[in-house]
Amino acid sequence: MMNYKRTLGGYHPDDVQRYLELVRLELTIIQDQLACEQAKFEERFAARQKEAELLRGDLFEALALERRIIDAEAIPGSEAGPGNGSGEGSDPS
Amino acid sequence: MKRLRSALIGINRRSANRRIAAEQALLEQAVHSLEQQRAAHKLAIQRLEAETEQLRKRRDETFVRIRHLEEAPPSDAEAKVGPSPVEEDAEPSSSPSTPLRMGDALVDAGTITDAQLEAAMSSQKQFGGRLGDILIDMGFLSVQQLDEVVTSQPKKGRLGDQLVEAALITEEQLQQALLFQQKSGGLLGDILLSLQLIEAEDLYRAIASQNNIGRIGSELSINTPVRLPEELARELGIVVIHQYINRFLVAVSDPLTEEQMEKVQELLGMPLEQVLATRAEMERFWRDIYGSEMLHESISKLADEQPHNSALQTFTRLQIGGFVLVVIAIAIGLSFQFWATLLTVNLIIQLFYFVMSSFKFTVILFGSRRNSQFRYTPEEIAAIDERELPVYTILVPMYKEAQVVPHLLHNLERLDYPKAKLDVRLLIEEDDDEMRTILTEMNLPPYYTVLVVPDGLPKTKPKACNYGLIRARGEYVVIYDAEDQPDPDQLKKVFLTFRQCPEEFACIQAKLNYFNSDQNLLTRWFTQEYSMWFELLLPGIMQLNVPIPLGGTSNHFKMSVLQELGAWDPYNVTEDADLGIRLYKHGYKTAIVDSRTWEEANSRTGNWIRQRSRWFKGYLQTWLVHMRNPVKLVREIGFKGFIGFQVMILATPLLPLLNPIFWLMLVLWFGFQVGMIQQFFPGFIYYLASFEFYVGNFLFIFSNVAGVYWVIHELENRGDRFFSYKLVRYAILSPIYWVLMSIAAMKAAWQLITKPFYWEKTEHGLTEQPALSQSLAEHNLQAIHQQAADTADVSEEPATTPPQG
Repeated sequence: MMNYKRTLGGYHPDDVQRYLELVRLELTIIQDQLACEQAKFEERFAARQKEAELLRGDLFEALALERRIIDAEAIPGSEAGPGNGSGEGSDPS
Repeated sequence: MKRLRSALIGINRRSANRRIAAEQALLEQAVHSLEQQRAAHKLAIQRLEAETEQLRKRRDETFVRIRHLEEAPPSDAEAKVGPSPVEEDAEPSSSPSTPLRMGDALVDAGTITDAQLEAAMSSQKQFGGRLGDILIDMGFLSVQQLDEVVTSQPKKGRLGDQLVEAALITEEQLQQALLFQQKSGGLLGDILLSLQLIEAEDLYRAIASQNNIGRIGSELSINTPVRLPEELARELGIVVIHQYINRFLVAVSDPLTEEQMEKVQELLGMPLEQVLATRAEMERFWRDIYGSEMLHESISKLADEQPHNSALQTFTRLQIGGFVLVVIAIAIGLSFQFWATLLTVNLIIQLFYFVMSSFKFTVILFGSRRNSQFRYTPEEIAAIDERELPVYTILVPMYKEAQVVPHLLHNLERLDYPKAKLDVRLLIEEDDDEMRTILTEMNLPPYYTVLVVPDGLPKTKPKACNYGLIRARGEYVVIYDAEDQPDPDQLKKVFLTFRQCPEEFACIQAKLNYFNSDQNLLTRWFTQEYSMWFELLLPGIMQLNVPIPLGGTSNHFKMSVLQELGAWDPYNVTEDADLGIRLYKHGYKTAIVDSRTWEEANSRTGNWIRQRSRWFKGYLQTWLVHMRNPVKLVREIGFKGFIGFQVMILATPLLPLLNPIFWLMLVLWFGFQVGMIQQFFPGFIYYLASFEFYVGNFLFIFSNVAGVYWVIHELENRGDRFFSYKLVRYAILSPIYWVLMSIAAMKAAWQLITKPFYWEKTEHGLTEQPALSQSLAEHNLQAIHQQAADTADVSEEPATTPPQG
């Protein structure tokens, strides 16, 4: 408001009103933007989530199939052989 | 009418501004919400994308394994999977006598295949974590299946026993470390590392196993966009390094408590898994993740938090206005009352000389008292219970000083302090390739950390020290220059002094002196000056309780106080002097301990002038900073402190600036009998100036003689190092030294205006240190250079540092 014309006692009422309207308009734009971006995000997020769910389903199916094959082949423990070093910091969880 | 009134009187400005401010606050809040929302959306999408990517990768890998299973006949299954990548990780402990490790046990039991184990281990290698968790997470194993195997695993014993059992150390080595622990205290892990009995990797793996947590992966690269707020990360000493589908992996240097875990989990919105990282690894993570924050802190902390104490702004408007006013007043005075003005200025200068000289000599008299320094006998040092010694941080800022590295290491190794309680941080600049190469390639002991200070202005020693301080671990911290040779018992003496002094003593200054005093005339003068400064003047200041301008190195601080004060001012080129004043302003005290650090005196005139001009410039900066509000300063430090501040900080650069004017007058009077000079010194001024000329100069020379004599005598009594008594006689030539000082002061004044933050680098390593023979130094350096030359790839790598054992 520093640049606004001044009257004897203060600012011109029209100037103040115009400035306030500008600020409110900007506020409205930002609030609209907030809502709009939220909606877009939810849409995008849902799509990605669906994709992730599909992939998760695929993975579970694949893991189940792998388990069935393993069980079917029934690899005996003794054949696997010891001493292959089972990993860094092989702590039990 | 209403319109006219509104046009004339309008709306009250204050109420209008209030209404506008309220609306603007709402707008700012909305903008902030929008920014926060965007950041949250971005993070959520990134997390989901990372999860999707992981799922896709796992699915594809599963299909590949299925294809292998289907293609391979059952009997060939084992051969196809192949033990090769796994066997590379096999440890010496996997001997037939040791129990089967969990992965082996699971494969043997047929619960998982080799291929699954390999996939899990590949993930473990990349990011780390516990194998069991990873196997469950990948869907290869159920919790129940894992529990069955876990219960069959042997219980873990104490760390030392565990290391011996795994053949990582011998029983003798364990006993050696335990003996050390009994004598000096500390953690077993730190001791084992400091004695170089074990590699950090092996030790941390054992500690992780003992604490039932994982180790970080050996091929880790941080790939998660998620990061904790720096403050919390620093408080807990953790960094987020990876995001699994169902949990975050955080690197810790010490395992978190349940409470801390919950706090972080709440913030991240997912469970956590801790993985243990070595101190060197944590340093790397911090640099990678919080590097910009660390740099910002090292440059801007003081200017942001205490702008009134920062030299970022050299002159304030008020100061410039004040100087202009003085100049105008003198100019007007000269125009109307030429001689009266000149005589008034001369009188003020003469009084200034008189007060400064008298005060300085009084300080020196106080400094010559026996109790002005904290002194300890060898018996008192020997009686220290080393278990009480705290972790000590040593900061060594260096720039293009490769030639002194062998000396530095030699001198640090000589320190009589348990190495497991040392936290040595070598601070090198990003553009100093030679130092980076040398230090990276050296196999430094694990209590050393090499930190590369990111490039950025100002490029000063205090900035590097601030950077090194951020993650320092010590209770006490000291700065040494690369060429410094501290007395071996210095840290212990400081420990005793801190213990003996009241709580408000936050800094202990050791005395500095030169090992190459006899090299040439310049080094002799420099030694005399330093002897007077550190042996008499600073102890005297301590006695009088006025602000102490600290010396550039060997000042030992309590870490907590240093951090509370905002550490060093990176914009001040004598950050040490400035810190001494700030300590005093905050009610802290400094003591002098009778322990010396031997430095290299500048033996070349140009180099000396560069160094001295930086010191003078820094003193002027310090004076300008603290004199922004002289009345406030008097209130803060009292009248005595104020006078002391003027004597130590203003007079030190100002007298050399004024001296040439009076020398010129002296030449004009004695050489050419110029009559005007006589008019300049009427009556009282003449007697004052004469007193200054004869008595003042004598006292300055005498104090130099007394200082150096003091050192010679004391060292002779101890029999540990000798200066020649001949050194004393060169004091008579001190006036020539003062001319050099004046040249440096003029350079400093000019630089204060043109380049206030420019750091005049002093070249070190021009003289051989006495403690290390020429051949040994050359041999060390050659070996280091050879090592460095063998490796083309130059990369910053912090040296390993000891863990909590």
